[in-house]
Amino acid sequence: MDILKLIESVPDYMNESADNIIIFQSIKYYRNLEGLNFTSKLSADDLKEIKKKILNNVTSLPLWENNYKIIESEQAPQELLLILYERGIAGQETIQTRNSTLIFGDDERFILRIGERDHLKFIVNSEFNQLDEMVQESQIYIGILDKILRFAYKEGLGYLTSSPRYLGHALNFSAMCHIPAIFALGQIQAFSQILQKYLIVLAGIMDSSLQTYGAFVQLKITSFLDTVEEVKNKMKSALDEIRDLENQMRNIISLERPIEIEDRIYKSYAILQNSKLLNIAEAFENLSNLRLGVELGYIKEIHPSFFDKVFFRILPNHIRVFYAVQEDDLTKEAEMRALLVQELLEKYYYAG
Amino acid sequence: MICQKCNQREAEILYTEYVEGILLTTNLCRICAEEAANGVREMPEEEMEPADKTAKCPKCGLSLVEFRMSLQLGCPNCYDYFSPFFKEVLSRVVHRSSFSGERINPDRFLLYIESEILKLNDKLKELKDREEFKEAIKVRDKIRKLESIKKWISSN
Repeated sequence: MDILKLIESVPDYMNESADNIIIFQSIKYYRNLEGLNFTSKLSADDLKEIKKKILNNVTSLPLWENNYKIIESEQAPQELLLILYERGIAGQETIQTRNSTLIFGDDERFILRIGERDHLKFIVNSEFNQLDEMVQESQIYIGILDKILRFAYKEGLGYLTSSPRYLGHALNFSAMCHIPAIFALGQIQAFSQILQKYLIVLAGIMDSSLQTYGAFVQLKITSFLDTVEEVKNKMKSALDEIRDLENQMRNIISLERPIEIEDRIYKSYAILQNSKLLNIAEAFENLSNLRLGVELGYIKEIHPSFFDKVFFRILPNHIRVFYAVQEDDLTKEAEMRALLVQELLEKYYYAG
Repeated sequence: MICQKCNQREAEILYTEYVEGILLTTNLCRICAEEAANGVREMPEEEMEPADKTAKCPKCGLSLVEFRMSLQLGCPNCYDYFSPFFKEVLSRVVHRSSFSGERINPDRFLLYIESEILKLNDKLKELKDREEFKEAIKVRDKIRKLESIKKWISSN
């Protein structure tokens, strides 16, 4: 697999025209084959058999139209796994145990992880304006997989997963949001109330990390004995409320604090254009301010797709692998990140 | 699993007793378990806690202590074995102890797929008329994909 090409590519679901606040969203289904122990209680041979059975059945599905990649984590180079982890294709368990098999298409919309804590994790990524389509389509595929593979299921509990918190339709919904105005005006309490109301948890940029950067946060909700529709509706309501709150705060910023916000945006723009070193926290914080500047119309010369292009590329492993930077050389990593951002700013500069 | 006492009937109960401070667990059939308990009857299933912290799921060997530490179960059978414990936890967290949905059946999406194909065909025509061929290719591919899903569902 061409790692450099993968690093340079932008997943299909990152689409600048979709939404200003919800950057992308994912749905993850957790499934286990009927009558078999979960992965932690399986022998290596049994796990091998399960992988074989799933692979034999899923690769012929209309899911990827014969355009997919299979990565055996056991044999894959560590650098590739780290890139896949940062893009949400591999999970943390894949990196730690190197036991799982990954299947995904070039567009990174559909991903299958086989052999993590549950036998199968099916992930669908999409733009926010396609929420309903994503939910319908994902149910069709997971339903087809159930017909072929027959998943462990119990009336009254739903699909049986290694963790009881996924009971029900056994899924997890997540959305990557950009909420700079809520952060800028310190509206954390109002934001937390929305999260509490819908039992939503806050996560970082990468799949299972808690580290957030700039005003980019990932929101997650799990099924907890709910159906797909129930989870979708909760997430939809929560995202609508968060979007309303963020838009209200953006209006307040524009009307009541235009000088402050303009100062913040242009300072960030100057830092991104001129700095020699950019650590990841600085990069995301300044990109967050710049993105707000573009969305509020202060900065007109940057094409919005710049933000999609830069999002994954500035993550630590993307930088290290692409520029062959040693893992402990944080200065070199910061230098390369600054150069990359400037190169992309130049590339995505347009007359408006 | 066969009853460890009579070696004839299917074991249904994990029988646990303390003998001189040592915990002993045996897989017994109902009849042998009643005899061993000397007339003490089993608790109703709803009230039943796994017999002891060291008791293990008879299928995968996961203990309650392991489960509490990792919050991970070992097999589908653990859901029966540890049911009183995690149902209580779930009802405390989400105020609900059962799921009212059903298995996801792709057949029920056939109508949706058909209407999507119709919608996309209209969109494809519009795009072709406007000579937006790049977008048209994407829509055409989506139609093909939906048609292959429809075909797959119909033939299965």
